[in-house]
Amino acid sequence: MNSALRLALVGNPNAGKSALFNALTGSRQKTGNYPGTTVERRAGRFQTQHGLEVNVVDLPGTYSLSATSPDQVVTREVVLGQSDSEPLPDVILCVVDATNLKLHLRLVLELKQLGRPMLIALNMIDLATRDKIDIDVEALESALGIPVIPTVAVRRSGVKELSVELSNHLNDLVEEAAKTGPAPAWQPQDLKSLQKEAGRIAKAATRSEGIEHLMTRRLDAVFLHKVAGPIILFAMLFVMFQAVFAWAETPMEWIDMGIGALADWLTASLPDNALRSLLVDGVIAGVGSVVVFLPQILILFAFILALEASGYMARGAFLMDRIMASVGLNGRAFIPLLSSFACAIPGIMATRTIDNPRDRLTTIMIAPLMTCSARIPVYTLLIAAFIPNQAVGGIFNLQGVVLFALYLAGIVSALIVAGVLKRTVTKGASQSLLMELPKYQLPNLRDLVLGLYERVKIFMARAGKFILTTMIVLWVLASYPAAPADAALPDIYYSYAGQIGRVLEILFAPIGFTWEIAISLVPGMAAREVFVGALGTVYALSGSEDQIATSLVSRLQNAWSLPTALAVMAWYVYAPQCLATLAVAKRETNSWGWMFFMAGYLTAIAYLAAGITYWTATAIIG
Amino acid sequence: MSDTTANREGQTTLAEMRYGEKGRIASISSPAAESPENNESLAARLLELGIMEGAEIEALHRSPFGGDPMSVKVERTIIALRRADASTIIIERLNGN
Repeated sequence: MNSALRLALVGNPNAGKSALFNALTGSRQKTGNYPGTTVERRAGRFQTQHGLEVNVVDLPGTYSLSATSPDQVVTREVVLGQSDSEPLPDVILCVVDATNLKLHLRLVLELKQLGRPMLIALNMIDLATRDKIDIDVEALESALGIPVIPTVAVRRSGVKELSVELSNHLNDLVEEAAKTGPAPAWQPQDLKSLQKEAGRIAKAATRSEGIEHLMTRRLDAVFLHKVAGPIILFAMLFVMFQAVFAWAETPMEWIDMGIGALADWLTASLPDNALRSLLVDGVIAGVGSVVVFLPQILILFAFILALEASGYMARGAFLMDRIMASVGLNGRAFIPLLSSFACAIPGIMATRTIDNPRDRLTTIMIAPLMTCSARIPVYTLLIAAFIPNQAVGGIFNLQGVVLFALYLAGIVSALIVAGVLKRTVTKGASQSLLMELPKYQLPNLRDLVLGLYERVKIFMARAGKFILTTMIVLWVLASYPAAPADAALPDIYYSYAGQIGRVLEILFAPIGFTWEIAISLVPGMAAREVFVGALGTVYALSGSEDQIATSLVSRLQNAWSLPTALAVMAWYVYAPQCLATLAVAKRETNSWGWMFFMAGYLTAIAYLAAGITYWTATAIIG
Repeated sequence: MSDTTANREGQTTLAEMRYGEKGRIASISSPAAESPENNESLAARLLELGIMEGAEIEALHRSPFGGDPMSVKVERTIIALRRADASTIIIERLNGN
């Protein structure tokens, strides 16, 4: 065989599939463009002991092949060879949770009917041993007629064993895989009889049933407690957002200093010409002002990944279900909505686990109201410039409180919008909540690091391609045509960007936006954080040389009034300023109409909210 | 076990069970659903999670907000579900509780 062997990981949700995938492929993996879920295609490579190259694909978790939600349909299509994007896998590696054998074996039996080469990873065998569950692996193998490999995905030693075992088995299976010709036939199975058979096999292969996993029971007694539960959830979210602000401060200062030093060095070592202006004012000022927010985005993602991996996220959904139900949604929407705090794109994609189409549509429509990480640069900049860094009530920091208030505004608005939508355009019976609460686990460091590494890659790629291009275009627009010799106003006022900004100013002046803001909103359509970069470029160009040295913060303090700053913050709570989000909304709703509806209603609320903020603040401050 | 009326002695619905009570699923009834497909998919999704006749079940926590949804343990899986769905699941109480 010339080409590499194709191995597909299949398993119930929470079987530890993704951890196993990470353990096998390490950093040799590629996730789709969007961070946050396993819904998108995750593929990787590894080499077995016998030198066989293996391509692995980690398929979305599913309880059964007859499942109907969009991500589970993907899994069925791939294992049946019906997928357009993914060829039929040569070998299926079914990942089974050793502590929940009976339920997980049912999927094994379903897959077995396909008659394809198959292996079983009896995962989390360490947890089973701890719970005193004793499984007779050989009995299981002979009952199923499929090789079974005990694994511990989260530990290096467990993976090494798996790699050796896989290596042995795959070599045998290569030939078998080469022989198997046509795509497998499949028809929906009677799950009840499969379940019974799975129960019989599990019982026969289990020497000791073990004791109950007490840690999960004890932790649930706290996390789902009537009083403590909601307090812990709220406190956890609050700490998360305070951490984003406080922990990131020092590394952000380092990055800022580094960028400043680079700009100084370039200014000193290059002749004063258009190229230097492009590099210093366009590229460094623009990209630098976005890269500086990397620490905050990393901290936010670290929290979300850890909450997900620990099993707490589903408890959050459980606690939130009643609140979600009051606006016609269900607790399941909590997970996509919480992911949307990192980025609305994975959030919208994670709605695929909601199988009621109306609930799913409503969730997609409100996902952009969750404050995504791309808004952090905007908020951070404006808060640093306009909100005093002082203590409130002894323990809280006013800047942190304002940030929290902005997040809260988005959440409350989302609930109101969902309530309105469910009573009007997406009316209909609501889907009930039905979901597994996985057992608690300590998040694995390697999985966290790999997950964060993916985010950094995606963020830097965005800063590199998307934002860099926008910055260069903006620099051109902002630099040409040159100002007349007797110019009284900053150069940028006479440029193309200045001209566009002055036209837009007519629309935005009533809500307190200056023409500089109006200009920056245009490239900010591409992605929200570009707004900060654009401001950097606009203000760097509109002052004299030595003013460039002063930071954007003090620049803004001189240029904007407080009501204007507050109005811009309010605008950013709502504005649909992210083409990628609109594109994914179009794709996931399969409708231009819904995409335009989303863009339209968000813009309308943004304009009104900014206006009301500006008018109120002006009236109070005078 | 052929008679599965909810009112029979020793039977109850999952929604009525208190924390720590254990039982065996006697049947899953199909009350008037808002739409037939809705109910069919509910039964199918319960089955996916292993909720079927004969399975052992234990009632666990209830949401702090109005006691709905609730969490239950079916065999070795912990599942969250709403009261409306729990009330369609008829339970045979196990002795010794």
